[in-house]
Amino acid sequence: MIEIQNLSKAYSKAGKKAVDGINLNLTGGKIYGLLGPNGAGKTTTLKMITGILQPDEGDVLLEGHSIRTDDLEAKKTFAFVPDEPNAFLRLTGLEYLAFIADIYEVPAASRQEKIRELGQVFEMHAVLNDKISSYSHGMRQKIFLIGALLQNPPVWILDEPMTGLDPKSAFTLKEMMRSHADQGNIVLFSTHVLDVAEKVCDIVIIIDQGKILFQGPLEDLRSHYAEDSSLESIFLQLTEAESAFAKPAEPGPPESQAE
Amino acid sequence: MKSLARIWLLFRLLWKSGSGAGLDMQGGLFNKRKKKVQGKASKIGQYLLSAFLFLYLGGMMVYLSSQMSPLLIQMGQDRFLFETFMALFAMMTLVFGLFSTFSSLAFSTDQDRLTVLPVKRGEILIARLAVIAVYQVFLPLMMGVPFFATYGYFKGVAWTFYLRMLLAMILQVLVPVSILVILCLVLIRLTPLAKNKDRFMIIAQLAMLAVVLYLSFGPLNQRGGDLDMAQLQQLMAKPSLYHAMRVFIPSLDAWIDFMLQGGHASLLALVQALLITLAFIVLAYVAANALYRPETGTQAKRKQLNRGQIAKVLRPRSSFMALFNREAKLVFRNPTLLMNNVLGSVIFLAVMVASVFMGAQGSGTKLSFVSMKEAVHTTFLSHPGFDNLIVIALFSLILSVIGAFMIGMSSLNASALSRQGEEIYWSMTLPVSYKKQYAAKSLLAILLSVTPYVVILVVLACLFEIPALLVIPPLLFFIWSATVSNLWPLFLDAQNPILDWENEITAIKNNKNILISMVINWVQAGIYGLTIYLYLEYQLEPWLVLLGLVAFLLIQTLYLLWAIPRRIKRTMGQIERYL
Repeated sequence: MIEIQNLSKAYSKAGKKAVDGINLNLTGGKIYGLLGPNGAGKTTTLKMITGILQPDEGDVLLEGHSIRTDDLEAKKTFAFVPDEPNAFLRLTGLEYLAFIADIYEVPAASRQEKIRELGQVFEMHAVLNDKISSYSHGMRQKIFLIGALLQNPPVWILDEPMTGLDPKSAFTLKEMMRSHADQGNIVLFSTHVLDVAEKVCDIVIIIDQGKILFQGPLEDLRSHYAEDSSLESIFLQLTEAESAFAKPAEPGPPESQAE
Repeated sequence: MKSLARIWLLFRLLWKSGSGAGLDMQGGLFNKRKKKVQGKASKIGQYLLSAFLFLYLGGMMVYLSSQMSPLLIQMGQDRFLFETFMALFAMMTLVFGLFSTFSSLAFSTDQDRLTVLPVKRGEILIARLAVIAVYQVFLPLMMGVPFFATYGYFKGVAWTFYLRMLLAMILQVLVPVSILVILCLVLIRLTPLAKNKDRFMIIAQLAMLAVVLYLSFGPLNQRGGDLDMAQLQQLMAKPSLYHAMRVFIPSLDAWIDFMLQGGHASLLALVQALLITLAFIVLAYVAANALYRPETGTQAKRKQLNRGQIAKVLRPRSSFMALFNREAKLVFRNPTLLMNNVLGSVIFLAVMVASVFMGAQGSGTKLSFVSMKEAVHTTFLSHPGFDNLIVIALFSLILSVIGAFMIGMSSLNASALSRQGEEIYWSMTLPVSYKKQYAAKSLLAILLSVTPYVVILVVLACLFEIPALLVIPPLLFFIWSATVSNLWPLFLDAQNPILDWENEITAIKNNKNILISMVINWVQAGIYGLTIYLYLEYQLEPWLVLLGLVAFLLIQTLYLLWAIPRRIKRTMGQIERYL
């Protein structure tokens, strides 16, 4: 379970809050999609959940461990895949996976088999001995995914995981996310690709200007806004409405004002 | 005209991206630092460093010229001076330009982005070659102009000499650069050098070092002041670098004539030089047009896995050893770090030993092993001031501490956080404390810096038959002091890391923490050196001196071990300030 309690973050003291008082309870068995326009606060939220950024206010509890005060235990509960997988370029794929296996104490007996299996699933087995610097963006994404799946913690936190993946790998990942959630675990991912969110997510969380505009199943979103609309049009409606709310209202024609 | 305008725009773009200096290996068209806002202090620092470099190199050449010019002018051997040094500058262009030219042609990542623009392929090529050429002008300009200007002063030349000299120094690089371009293109096509960027960088840096060592110990190492007429005439009669260079660079004579002669002869020489230069430029352009194929890529051959390899790599380790192992791989596979921190120490030691035992020619430092051993035993160990073994041991100890602070620092820790760049985000999600992560990094830095010196000290101690009491305590204190000297740079980097880079070299080489740490360590070495003076001057008790030494070291060690984890934690807690 992930409890996000009144999370806030501003990047400058006098500046606008990037994340403003977010409260969420994520329970096992579901896939959560974090959606929002650019600059909405998605990445900042994910970074606070994973301990990269320190919140100005609030806390995050991962399986009961606070990311602020008990960060090492909290970090054992999740695997994080960043949006820009440009790290450890001088290591080979296998060396990176060995490192992850050591850090997360993956049992020696199973690591070779798991790597072989995941390597074949993502069609990376033939290139594991090459340096990550020689991989394309999609391949780098895959190696980080394999690393995350290798440790198989209860929580997966993925930042734009589909970016750069070929259709087959994207399909495989979606299947794995579904399977992981069905085992009672949590998958939280951010995306711009609303089609993916529509197909995969159990719960959508729409964030804009640091605040949560909506959280709940897609059916609730539709019933609340427009039953026959796609997620895309509802999303645009919501986020544009939020932007309009922030601007001073223009005077309308006399009849509408009377109403 | 439009074509020229496009070439000029491309030139400016490539120039700003550092394309000709081989710096774009990771960023291509990106700036070296992501944030375009550079602190004023940082900019001033860069200008000061450039000015210092210019003054140092220029000053060195002024001194050299002031030694050689009067003698050779007196002998009427002006031409010999010009031949020697023009050949030297040409060779320097060839040697030091090889790396940047090869990198620019083989490893540029911006070609795709330029090819899609409405410009001709030939225009991109000309712009790229122009950037390479302009970069190569700096070194001969920094060194040649002061050298020949000093000659001009001693000779009492007309002001036109200085103009001709400036023009010659700028244009003379074009032929060596053209040769480099052709050579590099052939190497790219025919050798696997271009397939592995890191391996190429190591080979190139070792090759450059070999040339520098050759220059230091080889036949060119003569100072004018040490020569007499007879020696000089002997030297002039020998086949020299000039004779070798004029075979490859036929414009050399013409540029020398242009500088030395006046009037019509100078004009004729200029025309000759320009024609030869033009011919080489055209040749280089034709070769580049034919051979330059950056879009074909430089993919290395894939290595297949075998079971044994997999099992070895996947062997379980503790988290500390996993971190240490990862850091070791990242350092050993990074050419800059490898040269600076591993090979650098080894080569430095080898050069030191070679200087002492072989002697740089003409420097008068050649000593035999026997005479050195005698000097150690009779001069040092039997000195009346060191009247007992305890005192000798104490001063061996102080000397080892001084040595550790002078030479024991590795630059690895000065960029322990900075080198990570955006990787630091990922490291922060690991279920491993920052303390452990940076302890693993520091251990590697300390081991790499200390090990070569410890090995050489033990070998020398055995060779010189120094008693164990005079070896073991100093060795232990050397290791301790070197550890402290390596913790200071980590302390500084933890305070203010440079994380927002596109080019990793920025984080490694342009890190002012290295300079500040070196100053801190040298000051400490000075303080410890002062204890020797105080002991001899004020007849202090040896135990008091030892106590002071140990206390000073201990306080630093405890403070750094306490402060560093806190600084790192504080920095990590505000990481958004640095990225």
